[in-house]
Amino acid sequence: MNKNLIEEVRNALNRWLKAFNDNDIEALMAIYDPEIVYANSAKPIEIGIPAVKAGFINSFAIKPKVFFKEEQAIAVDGLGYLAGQFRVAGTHPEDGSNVGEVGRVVVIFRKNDAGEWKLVFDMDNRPPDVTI
Amino acid sequence: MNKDLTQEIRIALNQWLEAFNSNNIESVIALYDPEIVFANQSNPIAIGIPAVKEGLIKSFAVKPKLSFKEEQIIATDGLGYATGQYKMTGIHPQDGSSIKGTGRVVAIFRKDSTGKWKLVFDMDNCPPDVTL
Repeated sequence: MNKNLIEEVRNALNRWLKAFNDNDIEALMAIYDPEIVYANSAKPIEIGIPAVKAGFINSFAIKPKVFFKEEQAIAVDGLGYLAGQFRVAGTHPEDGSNVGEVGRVVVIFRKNDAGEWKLVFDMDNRPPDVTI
Repeated sequence: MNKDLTQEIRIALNQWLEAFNSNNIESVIALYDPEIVFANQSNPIAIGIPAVKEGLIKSFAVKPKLSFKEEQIIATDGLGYATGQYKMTGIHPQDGSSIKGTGRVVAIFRKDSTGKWKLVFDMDNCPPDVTL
């Protein structure tokens, strides 16, 4: 296993997490591969950056913050992924109550022609063993 | 995208489907990477071949058959994945009634030191847009 490549993929995810937690939609979208597939467990599949962007603009209404705990990391030159548990916490925009959810996620990054890792696949589910 | 490599991933997945649909536990298990992570939506995470094998043996009680419709496939030399919709049918072992489940899945394969693609990560969820 190539530890340097895994670290590159971790760095890419950390950039994604920072952009998401800043609720910065443009910084977030800059991390996506044009062929992104977002396979969320609760809504129809989203394919391509415009579809994913529209979904995130909606989700940023609760000013979400996400936390991640890694369970597996594998990377080769050009493709790598991280899987783990996540927790999202936010604030309901109307009544100010706390909202959130937990689950498991896999994110796959692909290196583009410029040598930058971009998020190309994102899937989550809600299994019973998440403890984050 | 390397079409030869994506075809290799399709072949690896088809081999897995054929072994699964034959309910042949040893043939299925032979297709797993030792570091397999099975992130099922309804069960705790299963890590490693013994844990995955135990779950498969239980699931074979319903004599399951799986069909798959590809939605995205990407591969590089050493790592690749296919994602899409699945439908599983089976027969309840006690009353003989039909069982059906549908969802979305991602199967990530890693090439081992002998050049064989092995399943190293498997996650599914149950979104509202699956039509299989």
